[in-house]
Amino acid sequence: MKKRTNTLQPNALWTLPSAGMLLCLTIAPLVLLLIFSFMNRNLFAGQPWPGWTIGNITRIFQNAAFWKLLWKSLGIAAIVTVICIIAAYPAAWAIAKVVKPKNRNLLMMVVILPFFTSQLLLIYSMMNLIETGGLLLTLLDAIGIHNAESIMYTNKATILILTYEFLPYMILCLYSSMEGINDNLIHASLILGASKAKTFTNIVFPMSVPGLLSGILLVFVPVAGTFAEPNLVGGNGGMMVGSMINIQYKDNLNMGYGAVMACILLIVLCVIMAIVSYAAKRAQIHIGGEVE
Amino acid sequence: MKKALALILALVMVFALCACGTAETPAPAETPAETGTDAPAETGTDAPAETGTETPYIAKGEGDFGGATLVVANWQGYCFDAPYVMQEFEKRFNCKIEMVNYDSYDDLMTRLQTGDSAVIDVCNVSQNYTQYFRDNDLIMVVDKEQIPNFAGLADAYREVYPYNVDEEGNVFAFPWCFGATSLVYNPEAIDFTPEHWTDLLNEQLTGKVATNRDYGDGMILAALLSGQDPAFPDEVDLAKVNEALAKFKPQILTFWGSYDEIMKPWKSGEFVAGTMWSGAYVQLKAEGYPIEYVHPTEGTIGYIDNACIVKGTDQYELAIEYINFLESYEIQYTMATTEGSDYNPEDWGYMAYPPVNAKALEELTEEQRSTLYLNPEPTKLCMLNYLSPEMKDAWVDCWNNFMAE
Repeated sequence: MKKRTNTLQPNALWTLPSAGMLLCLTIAPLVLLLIFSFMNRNLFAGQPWPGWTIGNITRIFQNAAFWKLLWKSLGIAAIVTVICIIAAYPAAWAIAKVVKPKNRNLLMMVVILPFFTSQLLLIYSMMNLIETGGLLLTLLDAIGIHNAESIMYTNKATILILTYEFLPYMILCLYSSMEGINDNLIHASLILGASKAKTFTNIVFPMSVPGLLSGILLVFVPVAGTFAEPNLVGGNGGMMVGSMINIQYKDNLNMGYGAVMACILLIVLCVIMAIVSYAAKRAQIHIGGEVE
Repeated sequence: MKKALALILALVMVFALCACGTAETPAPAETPAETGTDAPAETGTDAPAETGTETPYIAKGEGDFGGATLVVANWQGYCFDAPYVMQEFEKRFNCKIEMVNYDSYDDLMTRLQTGDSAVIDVCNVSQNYTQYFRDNDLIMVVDKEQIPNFAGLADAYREVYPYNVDEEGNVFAFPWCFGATSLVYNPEAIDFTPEHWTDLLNEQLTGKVATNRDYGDGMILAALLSGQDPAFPDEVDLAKVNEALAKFKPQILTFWGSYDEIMKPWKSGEFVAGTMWSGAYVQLKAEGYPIEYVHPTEGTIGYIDNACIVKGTDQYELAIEYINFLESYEIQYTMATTEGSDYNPEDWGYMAYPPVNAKALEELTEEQRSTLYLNPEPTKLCMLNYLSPEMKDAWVDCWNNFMAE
């Protein structure tokens, strides 16, 4: 009988590349961010450590503008996420279950087309559409609506453009879940007398929760921290917390204070995502029963 | 096989991460002074002493540098890459200019700190950062006698303490252009003529004013709105500034931070008054848009851009020639008027820059001066002063509070 030599489990070795990447590119930067929160201002390569301080922490809790912007940013992120969910569900369902398989790829291409260009170009294209004298108002004027006002330089413009940018993520995530829903379950539900709404709430929704959670993560988190869109189209009251963090790094050259802001945003987002995830899974179980 | 593949992948990842970033940072180029030759010149400069001579290099205005490369850092499309500067310098001095663009001074500072100083020879730095760069030992003090054209600059821009000279008169930054961010208005959109910054509070301008997002310009404007002098930041009462900003807030349509953010709302008619970079005013005026530029008597927000020699450069003499070239009457006049150059202005997307050379300024026609918003010239240029870290934090917080409302 061949003697089995004592070797490393192959599974452990296979995780080395991905674990290494996770450690170096995700965990290490986050740890550095936390360390920088206690740093005195800026650190330059080749220069000595500028010193430790807890001044950044005490200062942030006295900064009313930061907390105001934080809650505002979370609010805008929530609105964008909800709009994306409402718009993405029928779109994802249509692609996954309604259209013919031969047309599915074409529709997927349409959904991911915005990814082929830069984010800034997407923003500017929408700006051209909604600005005063832009295409939208020109069309409205042509059909007799003469006193329409542009939403440019308002929070509505920020929400619209963010929704436009992030809707494809939500569609893709929901599609990936819905594609896996067995058609026989839907047919069985309808045959047994459940309405379409009941079928959706009891079968489709619970089984799409994993995709929904992924979509929420991919939309809510980046929207909360963005600053390009509010800067360009948000106008007078458009500033979001990402802008404030950016200013600390770019203009004030106070990386330590910016790191504190980023850490607080990160912690708040983690808490929110944990709550959303828990709530969604509870809803999933409560409505649809345990999912194996 | 699988184990071997996993190990190979892990090693490739490790080596790839080790190879990330810039090449191994070479030791800062040793100046001749550090290699055992004479100590730096006694004039208080960092000029590398020339081996075997006591006379520092003086710019000649011409020369053959045998195809050497001078690396210059600046904002993209901001004069240095125009053919009448870049190609002309390359031709005159038989060298090559390699442009490096940055998108913020933090970006430039990081490049210089992380080893790009071994590559970048000359950089453009605005007056509010020159002292910071100097204090962090990133730029050199240079004997002004080495740059003959420096003496030809107008008095108002030549030696402006503390922006480009220190208390002993040592020069560390060489002005090559100035600019203003002054008051603009659309004469066809309002029925009064703004003359003072407080005119921006007129109810006709509610929701139609745009101003710079940058805290520096913003706080200078805020100080002027509150009747205070921003030249003495220690004396600016932030409580009064906050009061003035509270009145200013309803007037704001949006904040701008780039040319496009200025052009779009102005051309669509949503932005009818506020502050504007002088270059944007020149462009809109040239395109025929109704626009007027005002230098309020309380002061105009201004800036002076400077060419600085990076510490550790290995092209010191060529850098000296470059700065001398930038400050020459010939280049300064072309910069302001497009005239006097063999290069077609239409080829370089002509943009005018106000010169700092005294003779170039004198020879501008009335029309040219108007185009450059120098008719009349600003009576008082309010520039962002060097702020201590604590004061900078206070000003940034004040401006952020205003924008966040």
